[in-house]
Amino acid sequence: MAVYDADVIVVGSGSLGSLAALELARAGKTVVILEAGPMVPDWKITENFRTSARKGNLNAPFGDIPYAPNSYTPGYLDFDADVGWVPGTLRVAGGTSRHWTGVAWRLLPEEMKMRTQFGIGRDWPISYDELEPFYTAAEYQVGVNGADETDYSGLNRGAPYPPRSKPYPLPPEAKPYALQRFQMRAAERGYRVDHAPNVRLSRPYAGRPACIGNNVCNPNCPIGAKHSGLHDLEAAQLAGATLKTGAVVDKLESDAQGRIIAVSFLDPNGVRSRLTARTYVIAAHGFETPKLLLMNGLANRSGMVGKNLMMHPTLSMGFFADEPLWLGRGQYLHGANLQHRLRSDRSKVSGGFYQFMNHNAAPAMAVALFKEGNRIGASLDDELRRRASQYMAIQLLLEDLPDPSNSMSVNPSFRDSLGQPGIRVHYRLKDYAKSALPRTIDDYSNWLQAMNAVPQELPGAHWYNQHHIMGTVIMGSDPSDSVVDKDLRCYGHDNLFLVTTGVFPSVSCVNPTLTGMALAIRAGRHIAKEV
Amino acid sequence: MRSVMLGAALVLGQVALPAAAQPAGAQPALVEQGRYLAVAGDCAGCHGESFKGGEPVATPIGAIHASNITPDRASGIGSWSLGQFSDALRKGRAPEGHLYPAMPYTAYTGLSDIEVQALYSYFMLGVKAVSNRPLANDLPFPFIRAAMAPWDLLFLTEGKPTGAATVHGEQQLRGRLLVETLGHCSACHSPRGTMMQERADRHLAGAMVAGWWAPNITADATGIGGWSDKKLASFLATGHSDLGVAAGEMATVVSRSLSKLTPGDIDAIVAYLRAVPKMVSPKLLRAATVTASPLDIAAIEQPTELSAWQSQLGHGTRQGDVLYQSACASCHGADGNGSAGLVHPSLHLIDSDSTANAATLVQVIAHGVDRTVGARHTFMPPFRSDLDDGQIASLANFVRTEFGGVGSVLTDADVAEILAGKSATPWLIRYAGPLVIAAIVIFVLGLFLLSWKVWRTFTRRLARR
Amino acid sequence: MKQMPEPSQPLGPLTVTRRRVLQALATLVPAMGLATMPLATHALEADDAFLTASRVITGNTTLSAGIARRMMALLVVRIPEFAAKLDDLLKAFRATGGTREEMLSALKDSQVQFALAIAQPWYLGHVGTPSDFVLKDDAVFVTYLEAQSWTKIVHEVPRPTYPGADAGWWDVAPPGVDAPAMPEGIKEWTFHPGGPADIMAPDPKWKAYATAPHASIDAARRAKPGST
Repeated sequence: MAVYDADVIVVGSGSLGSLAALELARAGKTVVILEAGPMVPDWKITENFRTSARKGNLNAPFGDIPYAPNSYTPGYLDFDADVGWVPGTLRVAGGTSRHWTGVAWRLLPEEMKMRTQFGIGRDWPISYDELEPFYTAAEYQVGVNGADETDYSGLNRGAPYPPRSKPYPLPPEAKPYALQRFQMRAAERGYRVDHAPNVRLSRPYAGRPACIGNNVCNPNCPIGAKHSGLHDLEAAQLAGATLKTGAVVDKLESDAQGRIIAVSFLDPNGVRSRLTARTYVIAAHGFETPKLLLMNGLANRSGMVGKNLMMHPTLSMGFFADEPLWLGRGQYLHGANLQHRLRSDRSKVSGGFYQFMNHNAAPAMAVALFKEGNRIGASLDDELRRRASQYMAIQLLLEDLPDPSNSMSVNPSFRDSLGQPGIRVHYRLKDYAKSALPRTIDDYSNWLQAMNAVPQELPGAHWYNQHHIMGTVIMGSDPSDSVVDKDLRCYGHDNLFLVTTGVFPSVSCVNPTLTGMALAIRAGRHIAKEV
Repeated sequence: MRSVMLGAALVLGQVALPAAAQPAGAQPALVEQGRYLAVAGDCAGCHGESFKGGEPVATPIGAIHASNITPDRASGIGSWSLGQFSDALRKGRAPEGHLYPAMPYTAYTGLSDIEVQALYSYFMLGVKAVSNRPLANDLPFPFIRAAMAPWDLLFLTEGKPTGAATVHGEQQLRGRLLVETLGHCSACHSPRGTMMQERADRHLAGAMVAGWWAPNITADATGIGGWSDKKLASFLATGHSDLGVAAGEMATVVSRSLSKLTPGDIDAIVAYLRAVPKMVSPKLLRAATVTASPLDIAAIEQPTELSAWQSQLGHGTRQGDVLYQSACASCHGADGNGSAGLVHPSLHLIDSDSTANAATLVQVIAHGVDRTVGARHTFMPPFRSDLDDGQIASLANFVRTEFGGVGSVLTDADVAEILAGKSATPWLIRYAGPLVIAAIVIFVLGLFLLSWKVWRTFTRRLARR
Repeated sequence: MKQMPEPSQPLGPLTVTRRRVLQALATLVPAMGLATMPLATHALEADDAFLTASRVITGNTTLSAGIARRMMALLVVRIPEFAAKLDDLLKAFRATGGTREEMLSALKDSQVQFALAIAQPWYLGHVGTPSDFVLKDDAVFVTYLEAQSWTKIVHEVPRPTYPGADAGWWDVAPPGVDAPAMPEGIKEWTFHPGGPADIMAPDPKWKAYATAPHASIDAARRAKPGST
């Protein structure tokens, strides 16, 4: 009878890997979580943010670690894309969700059946109803604020949608004054503002305090009110999972039948170790997971590993209203407009939703004023205050469709201190997303009118992405064009599971993390049954 | 959540027993009064929200598991008569033997007959019977239950709670009932003597309890003398004030008991505390007004190079000012003045009861605050897993020195000891076992010596004849 | 538009170093008539000169010497002829005297440029140009607590990472804002003010205004429909 170091080894200590580990540990399985980077407590990240010369750089407070480079390490990520804002991924305990903004959407049933419903993209091999209990489990595990009455389709049909088996565990957070003003005035042009469900606690929950509006959701909540993967990791450890930091996994050994028999990893000094388990979970997010598979020649009979990269194309816009709003009071963003999420032209024009940003506007206004360079003294201060008070910023998130030509691959021209390679991304925006621009400009024009505003940034001059990484190890029922099946099991490797947003076959326009958490909990429970 | 469940249990527990099945003395009309008295007496504090017992009460002698006081006949008090119930509460004597004074019968002895009967009615008729057999209390030798008899002789005055003060008027009388009898405040707030009895000569003068400081609550300036009636009443009812917040066990006392009393009863408690003899506590010398030195911004804002990743991610600093800014200022402000409205209290009013208050500060840093009063959930996160003992010491020293204006030189070892939560154990108690054995040995030896002497004398006398 | 303009300020209370400097001034330069605007002379403690200039430029009289020293060390190697320019700037301030506004408005263009080069790191909290997407740039941190862009609005918007008040405090009108009347329930997320059932087509003149190129924000303000 074989002896293993653990029942399950999980590679990656982010939210998804930790939630899978938590479920496994709760089921009494021995779990080892391997994390490439170190543990850093929240208070240290707060300190690093305050003393950062680059406060808009989300990775900076987490350090540039020679043996565990992140996506902003110079040369690590070769980002060949026609969208701005390079995705920021981390390699520290708790993973990339240390610096997520905390928006916690569910997919709509229709969005999981894009091919069936709209004739484009791919269907998920599971239905919303099958995933729903796990959405609920995730929401109660991490604490999600939500407004139960909302019709998240944006069609304003007068009934909550999608269906829920339980109410949200927490009520919505307070609505900032600025958004109240926008809501009142934009309603005159036919716009609705709804609550965006999120993990920035409106009340103390699960041993974390309620949000008090420190307004630094990215890169990190100083008080732990915003959920991060660190909380899931702590829960997994409390349930009995073991964490090893400074464990850079680069090799997965497999036998002739494709079963994984060991992971092999390096410590920061290059000393190698090897661990065995019955089952292996790779939860290293949407770049590092396929990178590991590609380096080891695994799970790629379909040729789809690394392909079908989907991010959420983004348009950014801003204006100065004719009244003081004072953004920056509260969380980084609040609320959403969902009216374009499920339009009938979805098969031709990307669904989208607007999120209302709420950053403190002072530094951005100051940068612009110094660039203009024609004010000093009181006139500089007055103008800074005027612009900061009147500014409003909105982002539109759009859907991507899976296209194998958008991809990530291994970047051999970068080597870290352990000799590991970097990542290369090739991404081109599709017409599906671009087709949403005219409608966006119309909305922007309406808002200028509604707020009697002065334009600051017209949408469309630049396109961006949301740091969401999906599709790179795509899920499907057909092994010839998918990397994992509906249980996140790799085709060709019975005991290898990929728990990452990289498995999404369709991505809608909404932030993916809650969906990823639901998949992680489902995978953890499923694996526990068979280990 | 728990208060909702308790409420449901209480509603469900209103079993309409046929009159013949009601225990003699239990009256439905007294159940509500009994319920309120049980809240004021905080029976749930030891016996559990459902009164089924089992929770360990830590004492220096060992853990004592509170009993099941639901009306279950087999495992609870369902078979007790009113007289037996009364003896348990007021004499410390249960049908199966003496109770340990972890059950505060030296306080409850002040209950009147009708109050006892109301409590009896509540527990028999208003509480749902739950079958639960808590662990037996096996306290080590020589603390056998029979040993409580001489202890009671020395330290229990039936009908008079320890330290009860003379009162004038109805309000103070009511307050004395709520403080000395039901509230048993002196169980924490009075120091204990060599035989673990409450010291009546230092009644309510403050004491260390399991690593926390229960402060001086007499009306001396070193106690609550500086608190207005309004502030004190508000603190008791909500656990919050700008002079201090209820944390640790006091937070649960507020949540479970005090916040549920009527405003009139809260005022009565305040009135009585003013009447209790003033006790003076030692206090560290402190500046009349504490003005924290202006923030040395350059010192707390230390930049690191992008390449200095180890310094960026290393989190072992012992610099109290840096730790304060990074871990605490996000709620308590860069200047320690708290947040607007002071939901996050100002740290400038850290009081200075010598080392005692350092213990509370260390406990709060380590464990946070978790207090629910009505719909209001107050929560400060714990920092024990994010800071080591030395860092907690540095942080506490910084807060006490910079904001509290007192000298503070806590070490890692001090913090470890505080967090280990051991109450000071009198030497008599700590060495009770060996002492009693020694006493018995000496007694037996003495007996032996005496009988040998008698035998010798007898045989000598015999020999002389 | 409701906010109050930042009041023009004379120099604040004397620091210990400035008092020492003044005494020295009094002995060295008896007849300069400096009574209205105490300023360090360049000949004495150079870092105090930078601090003084910084306080005038930013209008914040509480800027700390420690951060000023840190910033000057960074600027000295980034701005050619820094010492001479600082000297020149202080001379100009001394010559004009009076309030911050009076001193600043009397500067020549080149002096204004230099003053802006000092202002920028005080407002932003760093020198150089930070990169948001790669961990390599020439930015260097100077200060956060004394970074003036956040300071200038701190009464209305707390500095990020520091506390506001209790959970949910942000749903009230900011201080100094005269909130227009809004219906009861506006704070609820399930509330929806009345209005058209769906999005309206945009008014052509607003669309034209939105999509037109505007040379500057001021130009855009002037071009707003209904503004002239």
